[in-house]
Amino acid sequence: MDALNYKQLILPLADMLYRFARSILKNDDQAKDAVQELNLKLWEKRNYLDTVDNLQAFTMKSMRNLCLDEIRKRKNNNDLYEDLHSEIPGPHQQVEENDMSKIIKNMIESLPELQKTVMRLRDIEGFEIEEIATITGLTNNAVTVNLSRARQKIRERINNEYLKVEKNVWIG
Amino acid sequence: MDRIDELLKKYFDAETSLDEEKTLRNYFLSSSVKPEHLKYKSLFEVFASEKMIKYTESEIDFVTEKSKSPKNHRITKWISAGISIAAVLIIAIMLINPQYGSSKDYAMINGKYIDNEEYVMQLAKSKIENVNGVLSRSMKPIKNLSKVKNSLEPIRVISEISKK
Repeated sequence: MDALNYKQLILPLADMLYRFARSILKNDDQAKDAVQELNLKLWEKRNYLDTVDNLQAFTMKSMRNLCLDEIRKRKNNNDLYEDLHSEIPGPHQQVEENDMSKIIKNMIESLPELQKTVMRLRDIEGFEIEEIATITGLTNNAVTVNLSRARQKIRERINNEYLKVEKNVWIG
Repeated sequence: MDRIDELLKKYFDAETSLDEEKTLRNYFLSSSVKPEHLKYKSLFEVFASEKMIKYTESEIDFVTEKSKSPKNHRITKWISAGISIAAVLIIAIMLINPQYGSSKDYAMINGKYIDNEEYVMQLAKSKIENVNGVLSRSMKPIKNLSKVKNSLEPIRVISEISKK
């Protein structure tokens, strides 16, 4: 792949890669670093990129692997500081937040990792089931099952949240 | 059953196509959401707002052989900021002080900018002469001290002879 094709095909994926990295690493700076690091690796392997069928799915898979490696390194180094000082609010802040959007973001964040990943890849980034299977290493069926579970869990939590609101209004 | 209700059921069972999900998205992001569907509006708004998050660097560094190590991204950021601040300070000093950049010699005397070389030389000469005068007067006691020291020498010699 020459420089022009690389610029036209790979560089525009930066936004999507950054969002994905951010959702896994839970840190803006580290997510930006991950994008730069992946860019470097992809550039070094640019000749191989011509043989890839689906560049978007391939780059997202590469980003996922890179981020998971980073998390493993963090755990090995007992990097508690990074875990405690995550920039993205965790579920414990849900009590303080009344805004429904924030509540829903926290609901999504608190899903099991695989369900959250599958939901983000489908509902935010718009990938097909087959592409999500490539990115995550799951079968198509497993992707569908995880996606269904994630959505149903969110629906249940939204319904519970609305029941709480109605109860408060009724009691008030 | 309403078309949206049908799509919502399929959606939560993960059976919708991307086109059908687009229909749901357009509906929930519109201003004509029915009351019974309002509780899901925020969900689709969150997805839409997440999609707006951008990689904020003006342009991703195009990779060359000289690419910087991404691990030093934050350190590089601080160094760049420091250099920028230093550059701004230097430029500010140059702008505030109009003498910077001038190729002429000058002196600052009592807060005044003097570039008349002859005047400055004469002034410097008179000041140096004054200093010489002061030094001469100041050195007199020291010269007297050495006279005293010389006069005390015979007494020292006699003292040593007596000890022997």
